[in-house]
Amino acid sequence: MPSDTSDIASLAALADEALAAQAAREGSDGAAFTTLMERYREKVWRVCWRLMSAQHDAEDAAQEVFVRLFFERGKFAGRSSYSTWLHGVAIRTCLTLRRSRSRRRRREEPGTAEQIESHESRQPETAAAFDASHDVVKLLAGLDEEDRALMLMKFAEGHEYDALAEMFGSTSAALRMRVSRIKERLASQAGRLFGTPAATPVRP
Amino acid sequence: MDPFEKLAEIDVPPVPAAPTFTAGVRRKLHPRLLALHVLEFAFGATVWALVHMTAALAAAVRFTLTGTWPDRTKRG
Repeated sequence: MPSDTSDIASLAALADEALAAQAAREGSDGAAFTTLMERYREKVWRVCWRLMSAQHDAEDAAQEVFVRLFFERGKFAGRSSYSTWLHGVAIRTCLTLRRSRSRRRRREEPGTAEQIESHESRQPETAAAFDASHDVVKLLAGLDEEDRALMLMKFAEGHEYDALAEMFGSTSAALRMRVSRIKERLASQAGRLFGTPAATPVRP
Repeated sequence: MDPFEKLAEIDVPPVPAAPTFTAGVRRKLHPRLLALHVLEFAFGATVWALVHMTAALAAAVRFTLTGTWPDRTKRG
């Protein structure tokens, strides 16, 4: 047991990339994978909570992210930082879960798209305290899943375009343009919120 | 101020406790890992069985045609 403790202590001192390489060599969810999970639990939780609709869904998604990370742990190629790559895995997992859940809801209760939207719009319990942010969250619920995720990662989590490009498998110029278009579209939907005429372009 | 910047003001609730969270990950991971290992074993076993069965069938066909079994002790 003492050797386990010293193993974990030495693993904790490793850089993310070295730890990921060690985890990839493990046959099961060993010490390196557990250390990675501990290191990134909070960051993954933040992404999942932003993207999912409720606390329970976010917890489920965060766990699913680490399951997926386990199976994809050998795929990290070092093209970006490990943190960015893991954010990408988290985003893709959340998007998959949200899409499959909305498909299931549609199948179970056909014609309830409005209900789904209202479910999305009440996402953050704490948003009620911020009127404007609550409105923005409502507006985002009308976007498609990937656009919504992009806006949340950009503005709620404050990621730079370069990192977002890695996460979304695109280029930063394309994402800048996409964000700008989404903002324009949302501005035309909610001139009241933005306080600008619908046609006024919004900077990305 | 850009209204989208307001999104950053929404507080994220605290992360679930480590033991509960880790247990949840393991509860999801272990059955899938087991299923994957069983699948890998089943696939490997099927390939092994097919190879051996084909070799036996080929030897039986050869025996029918030539009256001799393949001799694996001969070299060269």
